[in-house]
Amino acid sequence: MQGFLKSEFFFNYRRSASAIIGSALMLVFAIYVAFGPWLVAQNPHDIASLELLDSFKPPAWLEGGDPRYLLGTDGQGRDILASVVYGARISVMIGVTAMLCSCLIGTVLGLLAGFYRGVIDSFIMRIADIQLSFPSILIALFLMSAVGTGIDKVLIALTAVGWVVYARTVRGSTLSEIEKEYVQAARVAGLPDRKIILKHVLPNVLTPLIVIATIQVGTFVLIEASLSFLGVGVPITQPSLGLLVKNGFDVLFSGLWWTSAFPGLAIMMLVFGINLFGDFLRDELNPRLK
Amino acid sequence: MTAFLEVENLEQRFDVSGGPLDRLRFENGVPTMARRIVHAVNGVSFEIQRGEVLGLVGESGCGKSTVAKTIARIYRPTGGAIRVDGEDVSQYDYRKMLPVRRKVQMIFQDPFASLNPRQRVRDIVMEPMIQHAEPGDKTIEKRAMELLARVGLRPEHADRYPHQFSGGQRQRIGIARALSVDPQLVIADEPVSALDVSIQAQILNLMMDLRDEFGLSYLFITHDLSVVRHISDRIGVMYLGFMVETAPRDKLFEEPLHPYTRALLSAAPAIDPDPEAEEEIELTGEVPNAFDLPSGCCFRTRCPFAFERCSRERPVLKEAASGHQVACHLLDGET
Amino acid sequence: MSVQKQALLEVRDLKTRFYTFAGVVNAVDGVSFSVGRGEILGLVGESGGGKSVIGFSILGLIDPPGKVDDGEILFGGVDLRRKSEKELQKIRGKEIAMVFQDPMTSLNPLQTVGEQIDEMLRLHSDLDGKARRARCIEMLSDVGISEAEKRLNNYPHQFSGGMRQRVVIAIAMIAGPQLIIADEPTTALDVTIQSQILKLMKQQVREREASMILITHDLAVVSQMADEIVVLYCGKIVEKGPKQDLISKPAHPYTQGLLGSIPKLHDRQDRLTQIPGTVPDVRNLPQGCNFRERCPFAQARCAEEEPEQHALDAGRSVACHFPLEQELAP
Repeated sequence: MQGFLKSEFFFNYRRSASAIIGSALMLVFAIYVAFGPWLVAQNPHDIASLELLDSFKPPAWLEGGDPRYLLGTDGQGRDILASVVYGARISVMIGVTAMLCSCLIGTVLGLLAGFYRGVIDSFIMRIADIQLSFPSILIALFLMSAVGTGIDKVLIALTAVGWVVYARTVRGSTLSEIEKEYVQAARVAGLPDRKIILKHVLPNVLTPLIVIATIQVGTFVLIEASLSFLGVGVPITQPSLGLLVKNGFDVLFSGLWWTSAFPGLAIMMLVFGINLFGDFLRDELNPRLK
Repeated sequence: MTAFLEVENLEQRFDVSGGPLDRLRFENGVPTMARRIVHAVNGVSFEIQRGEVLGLVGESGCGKSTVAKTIARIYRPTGGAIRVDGEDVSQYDYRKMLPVRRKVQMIFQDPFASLNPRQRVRDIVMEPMIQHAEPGDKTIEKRAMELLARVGLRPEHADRYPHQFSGGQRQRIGIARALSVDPQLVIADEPVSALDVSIQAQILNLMMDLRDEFGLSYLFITHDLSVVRHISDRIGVMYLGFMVETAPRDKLFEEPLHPYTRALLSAAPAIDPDPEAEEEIELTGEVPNAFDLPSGCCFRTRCPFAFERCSRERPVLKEAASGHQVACHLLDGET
Repeated sequence: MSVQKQALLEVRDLKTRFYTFAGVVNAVDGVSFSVGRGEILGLVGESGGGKSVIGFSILGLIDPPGKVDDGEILFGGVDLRRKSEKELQKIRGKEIAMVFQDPMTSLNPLQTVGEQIDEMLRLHSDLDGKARRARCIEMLSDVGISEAEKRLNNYPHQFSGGMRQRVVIAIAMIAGPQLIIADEPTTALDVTIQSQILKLMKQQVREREASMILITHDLAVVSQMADEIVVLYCGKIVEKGPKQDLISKPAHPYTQGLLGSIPKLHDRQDRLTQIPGTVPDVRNLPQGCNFRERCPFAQARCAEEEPEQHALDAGRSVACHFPLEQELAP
């Protein structure tokens, strides 16, 4: 830890406003994800704890507001703040899990394509090219309509969209790494392909993925929100931020703006924080900018 | 006694035409599948005796590094034979090659790219040994430490990462790695060209000492004529993937026969200019590209003495004096 | 040979530092030398010696975190450090030109060679288009490019490495500079091409009575080209003097070590005399003499007191408490 506090990375971090704001926002959401249920009074998924009488209360600072419901309530009397905290948990967990799956699959395919070249390479990369020529939301929509809805289905759709960027990046770095002499040295030492890939190539192609993975969590949160908003995302029993926006949207024009606006604001802050921090990471980890 | 390494007619071509879509061309409106092939090495033969140092010199693009990497079987040759201890290994697969790799090791050019930045020095040096030893061999670590000490590193260096070392020290680590499996032949691909002069001398001296101590043979690749003269017993001169002249060290410097060798020697800067240097041969033009070799002699496009036969017929290496071989029509005496 | 030529460039006590995260690097630490008119000066040293930084400092091209902190750079008697960036731009190219190591990156790939040579004339002369074009063609054939008129319309990638470096030299020479700073001009080239380019540069400099600072790590190149040699170590001059004297009779142990480290082309010896150890970390230089930890002749005084530059005979000077006196074996 002492070493980290003295490192150049930390030195630059302390001087970068965007990095500090971004990581602060990310920290807030990390706390929601980890401790959410203990932070809010109500469990919005538990129908027994809802008071129908408290439905459509405006935020606490407006006329008719109830101090128990800081951001107001929705049609079932659910506390919006509690919904947002629970929804953020679902959104973030979907984003992170889908990112991990994409990263794993994309990295493996990229390594194989870059290391073995030839037919494997052409096959994987052509699929990736085709994939990239469609908007990712379209592919996700198409898949969701084919396999149905549910959190697991959302994960499959996001992974199907997300692996390409890792595969392409890893393939590119692999191609340049295997030309380097340390990989040739490993061959001369008598290492089999498997060991060369795992011990020599893999550790040296991972750094650029950190930036991609960070920013991708933000992208996935947005795609998932869009899917849920379109009604092909998460089920109504496990509402993510996107579904909350949709639910509120139905009554938005009756002047009940808070049911939709606060979940939307949460999405914005989450993605904004991730992108700010991601930009900082990119500047720090990119050797070309140094 | 046969030579430790015999290379016969070694040929290495790289197909760089890419996938089918890259290859498709329209020549006069007719779709054709074009191929682009780099003729890197075009039939090179030489041998290295036990304990001998053979230096290969030539300018960039002459194929000397490709020869080195093909013999180390980083590449599989497209033609010819590589006999190690009498055994042709040119088409061996991974499993058959493994025991041969113990005998032939390599030192690389770039001290920054030749060590994995994420491995500790100890692991770098132990890696070849682990691959060749019985599982659970306890002596490996001890041997790695001995080797590191032998090449001039301190015990505490073993736990550091490559970026904590200077170029010269990294090259020492690379040497320790190559020596770890007790090879008989070490292929050194420009091992000192990335180093500062004072460090270069340290590494050259170290390599000479290790050769005597371990009874090594070297295949030493370099573009630097003074380095090749210093370290080699015998020297081969390469041009555009061909061997144009081989001779014992002093013979080559005193009596170069091929026009290219003569030009190379007269162009080399020296701090001890030869007082009785003969008139200089100045080359014009530049090396042709290896996609499209000239007909006949590869050097004729730049050779001041080229005549009609040179474009018609490719000269082969012929014995001009004992141990001195040259590939040039001028030596046949007829013009 | 006249002993006292008028100095074209005089550098006095130049100090260039880099303020990096890991600490202050004294890249050039109190360097003084002068270049006479028509003279070729070789700046030699290993990596970290500060030789390239000197070149950039003279041209005022040091970017942050680097800074020229102290010293005078007198060019024709005027201090370049007092000039504004605008004035310096007029001097660069016209009065002082630079040739870099990599001909690939010092040319603009999107402009024809002709446009790039012409640009120098447009900036630094008042010739009209026709006259400029004639000058360009003349210059290009002067640097040994055949069919110059046709080649003017080619792009850099249509030239080979050696030809590109000839173009770079043409660009450097065309405005008739009085001083050319060449930073490792032939390091990226092959031996046979290198000798062509070196000959060309020497001939061009001599013909135009210009001066040149040749920055290189290669003592052999310097010994062929230079009149005067300056040897640098860790940002300081350890020794300077006329070429022949310095090479046959080095006074500083570092110079002697460098010369011994180079394998001789014509007189092969069995073992090179090497300099032990490595260049010290520039952020953490030893007390006293920078070279003492690697010096075979170091004594107690070397650790206590930093050696000053002091004059020897015949225009030479050395920064060593115990300069060597014997002549190297020829």
